Amino acid sequence: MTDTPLSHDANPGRPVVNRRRSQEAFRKLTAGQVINQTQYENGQLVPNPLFDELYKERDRYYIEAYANMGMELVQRPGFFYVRTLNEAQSEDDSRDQESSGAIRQIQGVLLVLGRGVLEKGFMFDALTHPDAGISREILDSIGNDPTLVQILKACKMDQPLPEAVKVALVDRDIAFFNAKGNLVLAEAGKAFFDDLFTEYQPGE
Amino acid sequence: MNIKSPFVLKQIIEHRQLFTQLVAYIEENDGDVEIPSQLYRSIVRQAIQAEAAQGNSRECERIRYTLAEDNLLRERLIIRKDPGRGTLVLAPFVVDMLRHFDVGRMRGLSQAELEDLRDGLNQSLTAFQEQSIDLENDNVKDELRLLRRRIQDTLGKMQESVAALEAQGDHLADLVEQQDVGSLEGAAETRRALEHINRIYQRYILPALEFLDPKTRFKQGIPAITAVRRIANLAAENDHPGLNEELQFAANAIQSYVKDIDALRLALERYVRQDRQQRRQYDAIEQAFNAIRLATEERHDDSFRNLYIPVRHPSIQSPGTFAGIKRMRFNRLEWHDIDHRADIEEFTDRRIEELRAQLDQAGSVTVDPARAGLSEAELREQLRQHEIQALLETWVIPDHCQDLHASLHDYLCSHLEGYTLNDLLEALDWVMALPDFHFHARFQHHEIAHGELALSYHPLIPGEAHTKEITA
Repeated sequence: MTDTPLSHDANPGRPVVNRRRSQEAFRKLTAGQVINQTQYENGQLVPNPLFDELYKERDRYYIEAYANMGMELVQRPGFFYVRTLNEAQSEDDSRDQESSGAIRQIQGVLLVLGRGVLEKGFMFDALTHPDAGISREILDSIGNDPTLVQILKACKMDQPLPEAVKVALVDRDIAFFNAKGNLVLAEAGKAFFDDLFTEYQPGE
Repeated sequence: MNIKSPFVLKQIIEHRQLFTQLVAYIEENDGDVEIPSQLYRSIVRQAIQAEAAQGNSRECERIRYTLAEDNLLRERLIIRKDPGRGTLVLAPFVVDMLRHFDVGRMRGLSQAELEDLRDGLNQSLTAFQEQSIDLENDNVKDELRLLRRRIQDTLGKMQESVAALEAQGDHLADLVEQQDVGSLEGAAETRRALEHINRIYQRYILPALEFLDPKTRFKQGIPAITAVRRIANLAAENDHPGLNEELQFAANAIQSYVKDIDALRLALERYVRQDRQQRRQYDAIEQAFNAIRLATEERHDDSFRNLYIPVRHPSIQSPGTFAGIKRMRFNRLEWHDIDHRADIEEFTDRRIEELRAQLDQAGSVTVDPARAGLSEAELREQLRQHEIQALLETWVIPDHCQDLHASLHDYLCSHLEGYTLNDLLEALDWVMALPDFHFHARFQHHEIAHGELALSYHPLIPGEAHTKEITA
């Protein structure tokens, strides 16, 4: 970080950075969490100030600030996360089983969850509607399927599904528990399925 | 006793909620018009019971006579009765009338029914093409009567179809909108309603639009509206402007249903898309799930190596929403296992020994006066800070404080000996460093003068930090 204001031809002007929010966002992002556009507070979704902060000064400040630290600030529809900037470092890190396996855990749990919910007869919307969500009992019942347990294990998740969901999704802010205690996907979780739906080619 | 058909129909209309069961039976049996006599009798009994419940014994008697099967048969409201099989067939107009009362159960015109209507109008066209239109000719008169009947039939059925589809669409759309997506029953109900809407859309709406579109190409014949217009043109060519006008209006009337059907199509399309989207969602998740399941099976070989799916596996890397996400690791600064405490102790021990040796040799130890002065100033400053902090620990921010500087100034003035504005700044630093302390600055400019100094500042209002950020 430098005291000299960063200037960019396309985005003239001095960035106005809220230091407290910037630090909180940094702490979350580097801990492997995502920052969603909204957050669940007192039974409803409200704008997330950390997302607003990153979005506001993304081009004038944050992209470069994170790049200077060897990280890429990635914005996807509705959320931010960070990853290693250069390939060489990424290669080094790929030997780091614990950290690079995060994507495997997240993806495995999301797919098991999505498939399980539809198999139980729920609509996909139940997973994304903040007032609906999936209860602990249903998670338990989805997690009883031996095939799903096997998939979770192959994704290095030995816990039962409700705990796996907490570790892989809730602790990373990809999902949250609503006021009823039901699991609901945050923007990041929704974005995964949206990508899946967009990429899907019938008959493949 | 013979009771005339107007009175019979009046009774049926008065008890139409019961008699629509007959239409329901016909619909459930794919249009089978043979109704079990037992069903008819049970409906009549229900009507009698309904009147009996209100104490109208004369009315009960009247219903029994009026709605007797034999009476209906005499009045041609029942066209056939088969006591052997226990069935009866109602006159078509009675069934149509009951359908009219039961709009919710009415169906749209199916492809086959539309085809039948179009076929009839095409037959009329062929008939008029084969002979010149002479309105005195009996054959032409018969054909014209048939054509008018067919046009009326088409208009009537289109209207009924629109009403039926509208009613069903509304009902199903309400079902979809009001369901609780979080519950299993709600999900099943919604899915059923969406499938039903999709069926209506495919089976009734699209064929109706095709039927009404004059550009549709059929394997046999031409669109219904085109057929009517061609007959109208023939009438014009044969010098019958009145008939031409009548038929052109009829063609316009049929075509005007395009608007209604199209409005229905637009209303239902959202739900059709929702249904399609749901199936697509299911298929997409299923496809990705199968990929990860296959990857799981691939990796589980007998050797128990490669127990986990490799991170680079396509089933993990696709669709790449979280590509590269991980907890970042920062290498710690290496202090090469230095024990700083031991170092300081060693230094202090050595220094004390040096000073003792110096004292023993020279009889006194010289201290650098500049350094000593500096240390004393630091010590004084530290003591002053402690004093201020101790005072602030007993201080509570006044309720509704609108100026933190002024409040602190007043408090310190009265409690701190030798108070200066420096002390106020120190106290402000201390208060603002408290973890739970929040405030926001007001867009104003105040000044506090004390001694020879004055402090100008933006007033700070404690306690509303969640709404505004610190900008002072």
